Amino acid sequence: MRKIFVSMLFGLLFSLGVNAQSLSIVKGTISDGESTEKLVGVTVSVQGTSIEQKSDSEGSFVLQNVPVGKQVVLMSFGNYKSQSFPINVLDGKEVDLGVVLLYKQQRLELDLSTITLSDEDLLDEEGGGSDNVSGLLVSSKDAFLNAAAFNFGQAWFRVRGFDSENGTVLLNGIPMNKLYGGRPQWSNWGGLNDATRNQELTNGLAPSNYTFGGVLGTTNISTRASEYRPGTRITASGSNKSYTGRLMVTHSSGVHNKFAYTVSASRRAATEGYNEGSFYDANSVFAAIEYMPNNKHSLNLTAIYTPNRRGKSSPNTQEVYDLNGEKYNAYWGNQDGDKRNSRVKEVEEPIIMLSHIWNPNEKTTLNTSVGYQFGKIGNSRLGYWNAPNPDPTYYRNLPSYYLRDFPMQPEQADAVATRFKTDENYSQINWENLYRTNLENGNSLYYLYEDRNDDKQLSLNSVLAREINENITLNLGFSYRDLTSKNYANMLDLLGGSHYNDIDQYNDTQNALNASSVINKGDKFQYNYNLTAETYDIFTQLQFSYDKVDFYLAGNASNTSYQREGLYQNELYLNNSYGKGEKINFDNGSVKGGFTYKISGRHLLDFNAGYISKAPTLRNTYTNSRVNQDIVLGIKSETVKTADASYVLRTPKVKARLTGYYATFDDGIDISRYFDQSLGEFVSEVLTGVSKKHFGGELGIEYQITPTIKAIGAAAVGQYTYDNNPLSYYTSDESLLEQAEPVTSYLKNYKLPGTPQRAYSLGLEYRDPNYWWVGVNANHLSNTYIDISSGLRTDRFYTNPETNQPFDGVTQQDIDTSLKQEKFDDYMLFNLVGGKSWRVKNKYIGFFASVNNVLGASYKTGGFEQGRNGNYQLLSEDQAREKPLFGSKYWYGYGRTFYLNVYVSF
Amino acid sequence: MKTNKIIKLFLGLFLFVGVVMSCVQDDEYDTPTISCIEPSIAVNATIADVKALYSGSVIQIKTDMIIEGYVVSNDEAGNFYRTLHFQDALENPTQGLQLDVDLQDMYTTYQVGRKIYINLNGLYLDNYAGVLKVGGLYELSNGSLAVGRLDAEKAKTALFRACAEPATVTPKVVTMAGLTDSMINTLIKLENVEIAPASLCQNYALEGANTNVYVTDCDGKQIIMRNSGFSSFWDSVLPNGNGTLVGVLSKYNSDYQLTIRSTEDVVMNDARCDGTTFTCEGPEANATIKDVKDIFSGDLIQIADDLVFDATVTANDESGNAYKYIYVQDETGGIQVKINQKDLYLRGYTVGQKITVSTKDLYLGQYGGEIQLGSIYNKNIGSIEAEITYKHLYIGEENAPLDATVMTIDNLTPENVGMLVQFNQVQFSQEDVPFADTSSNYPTNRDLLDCNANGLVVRTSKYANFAETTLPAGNGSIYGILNVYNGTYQLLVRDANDFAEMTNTKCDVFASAVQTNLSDIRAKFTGSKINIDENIKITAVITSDKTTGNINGANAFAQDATAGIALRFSGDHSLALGDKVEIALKGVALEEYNGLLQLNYIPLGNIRSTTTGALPTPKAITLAEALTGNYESQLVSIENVEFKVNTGDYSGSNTITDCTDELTMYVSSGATFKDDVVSALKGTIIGVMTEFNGTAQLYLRNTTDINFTDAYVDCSGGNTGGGTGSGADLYISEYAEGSSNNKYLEIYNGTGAAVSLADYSIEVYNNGSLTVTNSLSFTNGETIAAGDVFVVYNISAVATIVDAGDISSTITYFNGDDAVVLLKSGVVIDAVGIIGVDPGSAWDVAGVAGATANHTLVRKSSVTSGNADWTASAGTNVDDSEWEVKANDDWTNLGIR
Repeated sequence: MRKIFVSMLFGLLFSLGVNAQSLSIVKGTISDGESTEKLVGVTVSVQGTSIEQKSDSEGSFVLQNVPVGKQVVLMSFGNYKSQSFPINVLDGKEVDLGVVLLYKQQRLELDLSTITLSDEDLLDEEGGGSDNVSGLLVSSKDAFLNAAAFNFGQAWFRVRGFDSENGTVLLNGIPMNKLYGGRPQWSNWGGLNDATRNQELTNGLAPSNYTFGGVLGTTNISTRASEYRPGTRITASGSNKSYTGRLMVTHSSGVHNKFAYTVSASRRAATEGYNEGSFYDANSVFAAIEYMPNNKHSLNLTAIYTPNRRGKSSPNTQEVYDLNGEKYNAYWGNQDGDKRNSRVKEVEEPIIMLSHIWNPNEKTTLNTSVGYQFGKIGNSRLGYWNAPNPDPTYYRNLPSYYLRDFPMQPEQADAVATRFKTDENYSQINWENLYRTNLENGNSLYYLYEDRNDDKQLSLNSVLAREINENITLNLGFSYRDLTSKNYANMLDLLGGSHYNDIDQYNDTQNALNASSVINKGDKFQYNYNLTAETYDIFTQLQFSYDKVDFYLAGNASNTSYQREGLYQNELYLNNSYGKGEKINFDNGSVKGGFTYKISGRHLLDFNAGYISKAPTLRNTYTNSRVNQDIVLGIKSETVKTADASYVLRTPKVKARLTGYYATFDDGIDISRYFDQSLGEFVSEVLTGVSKKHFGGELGIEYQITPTIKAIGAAAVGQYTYDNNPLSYYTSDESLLEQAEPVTSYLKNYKLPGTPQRAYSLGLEYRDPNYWWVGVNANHLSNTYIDISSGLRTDRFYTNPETNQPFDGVTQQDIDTSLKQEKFDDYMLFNLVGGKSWRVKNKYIGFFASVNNVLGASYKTGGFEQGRNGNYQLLSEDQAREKPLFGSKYWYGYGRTFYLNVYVSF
Repeated sequence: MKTNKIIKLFLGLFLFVGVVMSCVQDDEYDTPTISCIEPSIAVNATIADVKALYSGSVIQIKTDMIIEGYVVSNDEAGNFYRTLHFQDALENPTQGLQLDVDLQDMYTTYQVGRKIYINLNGLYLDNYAGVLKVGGLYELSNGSLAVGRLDAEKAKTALFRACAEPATVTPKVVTMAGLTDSMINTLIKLENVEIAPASLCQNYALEGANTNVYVTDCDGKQIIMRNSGFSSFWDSVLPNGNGTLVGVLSKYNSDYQLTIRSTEDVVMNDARCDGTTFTCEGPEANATIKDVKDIFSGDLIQIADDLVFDATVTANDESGNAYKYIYVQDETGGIQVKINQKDLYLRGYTVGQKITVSTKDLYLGQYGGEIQLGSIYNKNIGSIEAEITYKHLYIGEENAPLDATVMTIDNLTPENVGMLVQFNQVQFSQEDVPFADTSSNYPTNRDLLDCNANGLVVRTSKYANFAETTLPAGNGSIYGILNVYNGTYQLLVRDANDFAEMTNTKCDVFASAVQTNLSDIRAKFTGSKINIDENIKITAVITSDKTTGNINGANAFAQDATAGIALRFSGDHSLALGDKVEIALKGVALEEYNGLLQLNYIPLGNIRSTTTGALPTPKAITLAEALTGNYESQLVSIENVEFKVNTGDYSGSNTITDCTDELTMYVSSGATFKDDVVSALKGTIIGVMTEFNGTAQLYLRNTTDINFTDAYVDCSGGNTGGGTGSGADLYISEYAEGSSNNKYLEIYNGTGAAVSLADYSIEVYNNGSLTVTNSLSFTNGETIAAGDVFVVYNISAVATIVDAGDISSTITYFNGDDAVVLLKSGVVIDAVGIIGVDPGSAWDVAGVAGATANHTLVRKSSVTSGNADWTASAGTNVDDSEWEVKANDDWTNLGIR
């Protein structure tokens, strides 16, 4: 069987060489190295020249007028490994490269699931910094982006510090970023790694053929059934991350009688993931069928259904981690021998999409898609009413509280610490006690409910690409989206009680005057409203390509409108909660441009600049949409100004890219919504007019030491900061806190949280010609900062509430010390990866394995300050304690994890 | 074949994954069966046993003492907070007890009627204000120990509940008169009781504060219903009728208190004891505030008519700047309503609140000219008593706060008093000072000016929450209630928002002030106080020195080329002697104070500039001129004067005299030099002329202004020399025979004129010698100035003597038994000792044995001439001697007469 593999490029290269007949012609035929099918559309170019061609329907190419001398012929194609052939062109001689075999990128076997992508499910409203994964962490040919995805991903690294809402994810050209929060909901296609393999990535502002895109870049996933490699593939995986096992089956028909279809299904599951009590239960089904009546038209119907549920894990204070370890999760408790998790995220949003691809002529493509997505997202949570807080990490349950409140009995803090470490009835949710309380009380004082979003979204998208001439390509696009989102609290479990009385605990008011306050299982309660959103977007782009320079210009214009309709009349907001609210409109326009200057084929300079105006997301438009129609005071569109410059080096041995970038975000809105333990209610901390500044550099370098050994280095050095002192104000769902006048929040020069601002990676990779490979890399990550509480950085902080004067004797230095932003410790992560594949008759089998964080380093990936110590006196007192009661909460990264993947394809 | 292999492979993979996947939690859970295990502890004590352990101070129980009880408290409504109360039986209990424990929402576990067990081992027992309770240990801020909340961890091993379902607890029916301490912490029921009038129409509690509500029975007895301001029912209105009240009995010192579990414990719907029924709704309005104010005609008056007006609250006591009163206003005006209750803002009198006032039987009176509504107190206007407030003030619907009426400071009328007003483009005259001086018990006045320098007083209590806030440094709008006090308009600021808009750049109100001289200012005064209306200013030099304390820190004297004047500022100034100041005078009063003309109550902000100036030359005048009053407030110098009594200190009044006229110099008790002894000499004095009730006085800046070098003249007589000196000739004023060579002789010239010593000599006769042993003549033209002394000293004397000496001489080698004589033209005119007599070792003087040795002899100040008769001169006692005998080496009078 090895014979097959012998037909490798090196052999081809020199044997098929140089007996040419006509003047300076280089030709050949390209086939898939495994299936031997002819490959169409492979880009073949001669390095350092403008000579470029695509292989024809027979996989053939003929390059004319190739200059004599030593040349390098490059071949690159989609997910295939690029090839380069050094040849010696003699005057008047033809060089026939014969049949060139291109092989699929082996790296693609580095499954996307090795990135802790499932943790981006933590993209919940409540989490301070858990929105951890950049949208563009996909495999790419760029050394830097690869390192960012595979090596830095576990540290919640964000490319250029940008939030994932700045990256546009498209499915067949339709934007999949949620209108609510701007970020893509990855679980909508999670588990379908085979089916979503055909991805096209543009980085940063670089032009995409599908959309204007965000500042982070654009990823388009294509699900055309005909584009999948025919055959069947079965994959089984095991891991100790968010899931323990995965099984995935994909079959693709190839084109037969103008039809092609692809189906895929997978299941991922864990009774307990890396963190305690974090179960995982995800099933995914995919089907695409394509009909091509002639070579000008194609119709592709795609259906995706990925119901998934997972138990979440809690951020904790250091005190809690010190007691029960980094895997500790406060969200579960034992019931019937199960670890029942109270915080379950459930996503079930099927997608149906019909795409039409029309090629009226060779130079024109019109791609039109209609999509419909519906379903639900539920996030469950324990509620309680006039009963002790069921959270085991509630501050009164921890040793720190005993130290503060019972100084006369210091031994009691130790007793509680011991109890917390040894008694799961105490350190976890005590479900039995909740049931007992409800049973004895009659109605439910404890209940399990979910915050539900039931979205229906219709999307329409049409993109035209036309080659005006050999130098100029025009893209035109139109996109329309219409969303109706139902939002309500849904009673999941009364936990043994007869019913729940839906009354505002603090104000003794009705949450819904127009609905029953007696709540049974399955009833809506607390809040109930619809949000509608409509966007129109047009996009135009011209791309120019010349010998020495490529450049592009793009612009878009959009209109976005939002409206809220309250279905409950809240007694606290009699006139401001029920019915349709004001329809709010945003008009936005953006432009960008850039050029690539080719000093030679080996040295390129690349510049991009853009001005982007974005409508606020729905999430950032309403301050308290659950209870009223209030729109963020002084709401405005956010503007982004960004520029970057790169130097790209491509030599046969070294490939490198060095980029410097600068971006400012102005007029941003940040709403932190969190559950305030002390108030027992949701509080919104609204920041408006936020400016942020991101600048820094990226370096990615690959050095082919020998044909089999490659060194890879990557570095990201950035500085991401708040760039002004925005206005801030608080609101509360239950109006316990009066909506105060906005005050200045002194944030300027504080660091932005959520990502290491510095990351370095160094790796070695050995690829044996016998189709096995191993890699090792070391990564150093640093300058990760805590998410600061903007409410603390106001004049209120140093004002004594009793006198309305600054605290006596408190100096600026005291304030600064107290408010110093926590910088997390640096850490090193070592990863090992390796794989091997065989061909057995017509079947390919292979495995891939990785061990991440080999040394089990302990590191914080994120965290946020608790705003509860609202002034200097409280905060400094708490900070001075051996164990602060309201210290910051953190997420820790995973310790040593493994991932094993076995597949067979035929 | 092929298919089989694929299937095998597939199965293998599936098995591999299946093992690790197994089945995953779904979201369906059945209600678990809740098992209850009865705590296996044996009760071995009663509540009474526990209470018996108490012997006067907190104790810890150290044995397994286990008691049982039935819960009677319920914290669901939040009226109980982290206390659990229980009694020893469901019905007719004999004892109750209280456990303080750090648990919340105990009603979810320890329901009323639930049987509980407590193992008291390790718990503490204490008596708090009459209530015995158990719990944890707590250290009070004074360091003493008391029972506090038992921590929740300890409670896990101390507090248990029985499995039996909660049973009904029947409250014991008692009367107020029948309450006993044994009922404390048991559930009781009072019948035929009602809320006392002072609490009628009010809420169960003030927000956030524990509140005592009085409950009375029909016999007039009352107890306290104590309600938490954090309870869920704090803002429910108390019932008006008569009925029953159930609660857990407690005690605070001698007062019984009742704590209800919820408002269901209060059932009071029947007619009250006196048969009346109350409503908290106010009567129909039939009048306006103006109608009511018009009743007032100058004297305190009780309103006889049934006048009712509707108004809106414009100010209350929330910030602490007002105390026990509110302001209300309708479209006809505003008025202060005095109510004898604190925390009115918590009792419904919020700004913007609609209120109905039934004025019949209330009083109208005035204070400082402001008409106020209230009750009678000491024949003056007083506060409406809490007990009757509900009959006069009815809180209606909440409303929006009234808009302030925009006014200008120069256009205020008495009708505006009591109204919420707004002044635009105004500023405070001062900066960097707080609204109120918190060291003073009286409210502090600050001056508010418009851009034309028209002023208004902002008066702020030290209890205002913004009292320590620095006055706004800018110009802008201010809001408040307009008051008046004895003709001066004042503004009552309600809270910090009222001046929050004063952020613009200040205007320079005195920029266009016209320069005026002090003479013209003084001329304006024609006998009665005037307020300076013109925007004028003066430039003058400060001639007083506040650093020596002889002038009030707010006062100063100033003088320009034309005249001087007294200045009194609104507060302590920082002007120093010699400062040249520019002061704006608009709005300042020119008036006499005890006869002294002064610019009174100058706001400190009127000091426009301060630079270093040159002090005026004191005007040289005679004492007689000083008394004319023509030099009032001017810096003068008066020659040839002395203190009439020249031995006392400066403090208080001293008389300055030239033996013809007399002038009073008054020195304040705050002066730094008040205890210094006044000069015993005579000469020139400098000071500022002032006046006290028609009498000219002199203000002394410090003692260096007294430049007395001349000999004192006894104005009472004996002045025979015809000159101004004392004594017709020279004489020995001091004789010192001290230790070692510390010897000298001092000659005094009291003749009033300089005297040449050419005719004089000194001779010494040693040890009874009849011939001159040593002598000193003056051949170098030595003279003694008038009033001066001439000291002959021993060359080996200490520096003190040498430094004060005029000439050294060997005649100073006398040692007590030598006669020393002063001669003029060869004739002895003064002597110490007798020529030719040897006294042994020394002569006696003034009854002091051997006083001419090892003593200093000082001629009494009453002596004005020499005396050749030593026996007479030495005398036999203190009175008849011409000398004062000082101790050995006492040279305090050396060099001075």
